[in-house]
Amino acid sequence: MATIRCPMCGESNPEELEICQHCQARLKPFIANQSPAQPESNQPSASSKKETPDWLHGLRNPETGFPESSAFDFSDEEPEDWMADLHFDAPTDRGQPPEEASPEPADQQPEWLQRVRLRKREDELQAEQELPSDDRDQEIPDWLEGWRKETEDLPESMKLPDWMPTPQTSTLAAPDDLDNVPDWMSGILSTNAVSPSPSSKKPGTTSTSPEEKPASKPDDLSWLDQLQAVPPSSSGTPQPASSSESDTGLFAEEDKDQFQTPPLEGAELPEWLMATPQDQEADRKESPISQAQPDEMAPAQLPSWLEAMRPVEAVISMSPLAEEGADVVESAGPLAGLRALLPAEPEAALSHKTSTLSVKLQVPEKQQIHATLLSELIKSEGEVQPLPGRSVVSGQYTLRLIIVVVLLLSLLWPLIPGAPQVQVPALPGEGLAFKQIIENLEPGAPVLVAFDYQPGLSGEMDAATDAVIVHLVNRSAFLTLVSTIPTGPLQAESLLNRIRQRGGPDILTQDQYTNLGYIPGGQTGLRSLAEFPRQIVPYPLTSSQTGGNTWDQPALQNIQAISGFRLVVVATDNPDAARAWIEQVQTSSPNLPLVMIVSAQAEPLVRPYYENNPRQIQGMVSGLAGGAAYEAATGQISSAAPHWTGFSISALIAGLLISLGGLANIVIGLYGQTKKNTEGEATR
Amino acid sequence: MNFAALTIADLAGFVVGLFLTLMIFSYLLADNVLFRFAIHIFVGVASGYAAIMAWYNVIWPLLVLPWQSGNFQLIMLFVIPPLVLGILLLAKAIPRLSGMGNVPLAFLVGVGTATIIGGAIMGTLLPQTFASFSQFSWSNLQENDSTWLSLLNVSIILVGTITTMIYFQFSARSHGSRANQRSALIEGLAHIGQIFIAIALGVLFAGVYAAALTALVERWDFLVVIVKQFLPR
Repeated sequence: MATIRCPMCGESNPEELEICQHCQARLKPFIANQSPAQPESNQPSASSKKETPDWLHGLRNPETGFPESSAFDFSDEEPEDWMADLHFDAPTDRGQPPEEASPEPADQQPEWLQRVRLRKREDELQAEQELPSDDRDQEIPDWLEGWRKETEDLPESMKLPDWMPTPQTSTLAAPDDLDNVPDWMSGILSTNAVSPSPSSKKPGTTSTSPEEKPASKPDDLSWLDQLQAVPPSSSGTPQPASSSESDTGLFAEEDKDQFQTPPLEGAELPEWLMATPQDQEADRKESPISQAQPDEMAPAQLPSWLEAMRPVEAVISMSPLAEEGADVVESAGPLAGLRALLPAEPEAALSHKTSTLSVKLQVPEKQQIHATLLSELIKSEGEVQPLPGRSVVSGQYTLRLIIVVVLLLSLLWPLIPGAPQVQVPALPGEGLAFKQIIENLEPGAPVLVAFDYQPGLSGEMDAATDAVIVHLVNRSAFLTLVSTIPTGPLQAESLLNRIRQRGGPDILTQDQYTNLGYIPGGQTGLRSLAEFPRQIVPYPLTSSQTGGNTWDQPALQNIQAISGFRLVVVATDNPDAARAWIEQVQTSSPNLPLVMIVSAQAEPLVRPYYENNPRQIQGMVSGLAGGAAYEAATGQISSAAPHWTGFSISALIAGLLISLGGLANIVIGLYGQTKKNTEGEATR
Repeated sequence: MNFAALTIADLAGFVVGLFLTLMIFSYLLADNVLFRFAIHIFVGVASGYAAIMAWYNVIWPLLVLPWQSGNFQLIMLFVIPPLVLGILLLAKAIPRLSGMGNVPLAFLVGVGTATIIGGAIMGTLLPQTFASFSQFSWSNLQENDSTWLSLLNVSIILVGTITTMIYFQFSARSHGSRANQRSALIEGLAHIGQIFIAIALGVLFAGVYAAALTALVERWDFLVVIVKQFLPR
């Protein structure tokens, strides 16, 4: 059993199989599937004809299957057919529609173009008439004439056979000289004068038939003149159009001679295709558009705003490709050697150098001035502006120094020997209530004292608190000191030290008070202190290192909540702190007496709690006046009363200065208004 | 004051207090370096003292000493929870762990808000409202010695309260193209309320001025006492 080896996997397979049974690769190529009985033919089958596009089918020769334009036949019959097909197909191959490539009818041509072409024909006819018939023989180059003579002298064996065509010479030989050339050359020339064979004529084409357009006469050399107008290629001889195709090896070697590019007969080319650059230049000069002189065209008067918008320098040069295309010589295809042909590709598809656009901004002078001003304005914002010089001694500065000196001198009034002293005011109602509550305390009663004022106001608060603390000590109350601000415990110790220095070492001993220190948490801490004082402040500030429990002292043994205290005294300079004590402590123990020592600045905001019915605070001492009054009421002179005289005189002078300043402001305002009215009347 | 009886620490305190007081008073002439130096010293000392107070008065007695007591219940109820919440609160300083700090922060905000709102309602809002109502009761007027004087006082409180509230009423009816403006009656009552507001602010200013003047008097007396110690008798 014959086997066939798979080209992909190398496994053996039965010969009748077409697909490898191991890797499913095809064992036999498709071309091998053709039956041997079917002869190889270039004739396309009916199915392939159906599958072939029309445009490709039209290009194929019905007999050879090759493109019709390439299957040149040098027969004598119908030499115009293949050229007509070429004329028709060439623009199609270059991507141009046939309708655009075909010359326009005479009735559709513009008048200037007809005039140009008419002049061109007249020039050509005139040139032919002026050219003598003998000169036509002279058009044969000397080298060709010499070569012809040499070939005549050669022996018969060295002469080229008749069957060997020389297409290159066909373009140089004139048809009317066929009688003078040797036989071999006449054979060559005769091949150039023939038209494609009838078999190569594509049925259905619209090319001109031999009956409609007869072939050129052998003695007619006008086609040669027109052909000479086409500049030769760089090699000096017309290049075969199929040179590139022959290099690709697509066709057999014996078929290459069939693809030789036939010479172009100028008589069959349209005039627009035959036009040389000189002719085009002449046409441009004669055209009505080009005839108009540039200086005769009045420049358009553009408005200023449109002139400003026009990108003068950024404008793109007009159709650079068109100008470049005028000098391009076609190097391939049936139009090889022709110049200034219409491009097959659209202009947008052609690559060209991008024109450089100007990035210069066209700014009018007015806008430049505005931009300069704005730039200078922004730049001046970043510069440090020197402050205007201020006089060292101004009126306001002098007035301020005078006020300070007056106030300080008023404070020296109590130091003057024999100067009258200001009487301490009587204790107001809230002070009396305060004093009465302390008077009612039994000896050893636990009293919670809160020092909630800042060191900055200690001068006022210490003077007011001093008298109350001394009164409590005289009543033998057990003081428990706390504070809701970190510096409060220090303020308390400082005040107690001052009282101790003044009264002696027997007062305010460790058995008479305890300092629990700072209570964190603000209002939450106060609420916790009211509910669980033992858990919030378990150890006193002075004995925290030793771990001693202050709640074990006899006065505090029965206290489980803040209601166990007999009195709560709050000394504060902040109305918010006073309100926090009222809201958190007083509400948790409504029956617990709460009295306050407040600063003069907090007294207006705390007083409503005292004026309330029922009272939320049972007593109040405010400021230096309250402290001095409390000292006087309790029969002790500590710190507030000595300051009262200086404070009263300074407050009086300050009141007078404020009143004088207000009056001066009113007078200045009235004077300014009067002066303004007077000036207004004067201007009228 | 007898300087001879003072200790070295107290004497040093007096000297430091003297210089700091003079440095603060130098602001009367102009803003200068001495004044700013005294301010910086005050802020620094206050911050340092607050830190020491937080350690000795909060952290040591509430987080350290309970472990020595051996009271397991006390530790579990009042030491561990605040310790954990405090550690979580420190996580707010680390961006990656800041989310863990939201738990103690939410606890603080929630508890604080509830405490403040409850205290404000029960301690200020309701008592002050009822007190304002009770001012107009006939029994309250009869309790005072002078009924007419009490009635005048109550009337002033009523007018002052109403007109002050009207002053802060800024809405007005639209009148088309004309500018929105309150009616003449409302404008007049608001003007009266403005007078009450000016009086209240004047009282507050007087209190602030009195407190500041008292501090000046105390400091001036401090300087006079020191100077008198060095003067020949």
